[in-house]
Amino acid sequence: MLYLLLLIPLITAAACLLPLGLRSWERINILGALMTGITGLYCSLMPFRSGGGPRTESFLFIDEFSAVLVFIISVVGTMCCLYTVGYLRLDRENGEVAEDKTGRFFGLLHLFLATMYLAVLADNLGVMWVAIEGTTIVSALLVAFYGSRQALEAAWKYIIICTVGISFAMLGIILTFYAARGILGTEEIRLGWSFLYPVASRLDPSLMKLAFIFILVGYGTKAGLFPMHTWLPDAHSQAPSPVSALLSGVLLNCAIYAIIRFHLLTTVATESNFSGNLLVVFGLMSMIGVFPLILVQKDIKRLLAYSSVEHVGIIVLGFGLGGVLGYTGALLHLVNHALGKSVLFLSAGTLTQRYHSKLIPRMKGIGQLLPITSTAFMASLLAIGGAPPFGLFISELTVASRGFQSGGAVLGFVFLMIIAVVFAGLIYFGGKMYFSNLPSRLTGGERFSARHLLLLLPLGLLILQGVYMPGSVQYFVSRVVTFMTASGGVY
Amino acid sequence: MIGYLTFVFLITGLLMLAARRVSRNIALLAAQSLVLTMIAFYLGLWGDDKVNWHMIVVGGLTLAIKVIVLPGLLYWLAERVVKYREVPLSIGLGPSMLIGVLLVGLTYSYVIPVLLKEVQVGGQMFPVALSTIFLGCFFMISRRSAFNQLIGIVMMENGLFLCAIAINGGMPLILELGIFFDLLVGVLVMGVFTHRIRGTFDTLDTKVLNKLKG
Repeated sequence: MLYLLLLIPLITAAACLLPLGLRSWERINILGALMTGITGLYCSLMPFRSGGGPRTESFLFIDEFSAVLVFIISVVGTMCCLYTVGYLRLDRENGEVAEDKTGRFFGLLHLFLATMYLAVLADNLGVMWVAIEGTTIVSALLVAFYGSRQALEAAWKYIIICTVGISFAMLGIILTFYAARGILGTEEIRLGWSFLYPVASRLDPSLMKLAFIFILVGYGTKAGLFPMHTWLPDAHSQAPSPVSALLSGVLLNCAIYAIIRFHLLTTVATESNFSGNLLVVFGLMSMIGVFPLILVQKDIKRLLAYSSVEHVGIIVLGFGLGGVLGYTGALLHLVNHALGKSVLFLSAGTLTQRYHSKLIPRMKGIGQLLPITSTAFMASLLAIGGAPPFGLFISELTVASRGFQSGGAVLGFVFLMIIAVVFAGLIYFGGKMYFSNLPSRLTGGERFSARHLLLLLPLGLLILQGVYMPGSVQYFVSRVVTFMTASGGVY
Repeated sequence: MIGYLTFVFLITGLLMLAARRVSRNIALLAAQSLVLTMIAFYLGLWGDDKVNWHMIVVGGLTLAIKVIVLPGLLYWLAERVVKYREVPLSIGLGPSMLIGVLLVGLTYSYVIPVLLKEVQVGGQMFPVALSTIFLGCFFMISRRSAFNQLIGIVMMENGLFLCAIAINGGMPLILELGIFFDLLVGVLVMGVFTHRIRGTFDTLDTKVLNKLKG
C-alpha cells in the first residue's frame, strides 16, 4: 500500500510528461491527484487501526508521526494539484505560460509530491536524505517555471543554498552511522528508524549531540529556520502560487519532520534536553528575526513567506519545549499552518494574477474584484494571524501555555508579543487591500465555482477544529503525542 | 600509500582555489575524483584481509560518474555557457589561497582535535575530507560565477564521500547509489539553470543576481 502511494504520483508524472494535449493533461492531473489523495488518507490511518503500531514494508514504513505528515501531504497536495488546473488556465489567458508547457508543470508537480512522500515514508536516514535533496531539485525547476529574471535568481539561490546546507545534514547522518556502529559493530547496518530507536539509549551521547547540530543546520536550512532562511522568501515569492503553497505548507514540514526524528533519537541517547533547548533557541530566533520584515513588506507573497518562517519557528519551539502540551500544540500547529497557509497562497495567487502585480499598494479593493476568493483570503489571513474561531488560535495558545509552564514568564511573554505584533501587521495589510476602492481599470465580480470549494474546505476544517474538536480527532492527536512523549519514539 | 593519496586529494583541492581558468578547474576536479577512485580501489583490494567488493563497486561508480561523466558534462556545458576565460573573483587569488591554507590548518588544529574529539578515526583521511568540504564551500564564495558554484558543490560532495569512507568505510550501497543519482540529476538541473541564466542575463556573474531583497 505504501509503495502504491509513491507509484501513483510517479505514473501520473510520467503520463503528464507525454505529449498528449491540454485536455488529457488536465484530466490525468485531476485523476492522479484524487487517487494519490485517497491513497494517502488511507495510508495515514494505517497506524491507528486496531493492532496499530508502525507498519513496515521493507524500505518504507509508517508510524503515528509520519502518518500526520502523510495526511498533510495528501490534503494540501491534492488541493494544490486541483487548484493548479484553473490557475494555469488564467495564466495561459494572460499569456504567461505557453500551452505546451502545461504538461511539464503537472508532471513536475506530481514528481515533487512523490519525492515528499518518499521523504516522510522512508525507513532509512539515507534514503530520506536523498529524497529531501530530490525535493530541492524538482521544486527548483518549478520555482523557475516562469523563467523571468527574478524567478531564475530565486531558483538558483534556492538550489545552491539548500544543496550546500543539506551536505551538512549528510555529515550528521555519517556521525549517527558511526555511533550506531560503535555499539553494534555489525557489517551491514540498516540505517533505519525502526532499527535505531530500540538501541537509541545505547548510542554515544556526545556523538549524537554533534550529529544533531549538523542535522539541525542541514535540514534547518531546508525548513527555513532563521539564519539559514534566506532562500525562502525569494523562492516562495517567485514560484507559481500553487507551488508556493506546496513549498510553504508541505515541504517545510517535511524538513521539520526530519529534524524532529533526530530530536527524538538524540533526546533518548543523551538523556537530556540538549536538542530540545537548541530547537527552542532556533525557534525563538526565527520568530524574532523575521517579524520586523513582516511589518515592512510590500510584496504580498514575500509577506506570506516571512510569515511561514515565523510559523516554522512556532512549530519548532513547541517541539523543543516538549511535554504533552508542547507536542500537542506543535503537532496541531503543523497541520493548521499547512492548511491555512496553502489557502492563503492559493487565493493570493489568484488575486495577483488578476492585478498583474504582487505589490500590496497596487492590490486595492480585492473584495469588489473577486468577492469569494478575497473572502477566503481574508479568512485565512485571520486564521494565520491566530484569530479565534480558527484552529491556529488553539494551537498557538497551547504552545504558549507550555512556554509559560517550562520556559518561564519571559519566554511566554515574548512569544505572545511577537504573535500579537505579527497579527496586527497582517490585519493592517489585509485591511488596506480589502477596505479600499477598486481601480477603475478593473471590473469585479465572480461566480461560485468548484475551485472556491477547494479553498473553503480547509478553512472549514480549521474552523471546526477551533470551535469543536471531534472525539476521533482528539484520539488521533493523543495517540501521536503519546507515541512521541511517553516512549520518546521508542517502540 | 593511503597517506600519499589523501595528500594528493588535499593538494588538488587547494590548487583549485588557485586556478582561474574554468577548464583547469574541471580538470582538477576530475583529478580529485580519480584520487578518490584510487583510494576506494586500494581499500577494496588491500585494505582488509579479504577483497571488499563494496568498496570496489563504489570505486567503479566514482570512476564512471565523477571522473568520466560529470567532467565531460561540465566541459560540454562550459563551452556553451562560459564566455569569460578568467572567472570573476570576489576574493583575489593570493588571499583565497591563504584562506584555503588557513582553513586546512584550522581543521587540523581545532575542528578535529577539539570539536570532533569523539570521532576517533586514525589517519589523515578524516581531516583531509573535512578540509575539502570547507575548501569546496569557500571555493563557491570566492568566485562570482554560477558555473564555479556548481563545481564547488561537486567538490564538497567529494569531501563528503571521503568522509563517509574515513569514518564508516563507506555507507550502505543502496545509499551510495542514491547519492550518485542525486548528484547526477542535481548537476544536470543546475547545468540547465546556468544555461538559462546565461541566456537571460547574458552572463554568469552572480553579481547580477541581486534583484530580490528584503
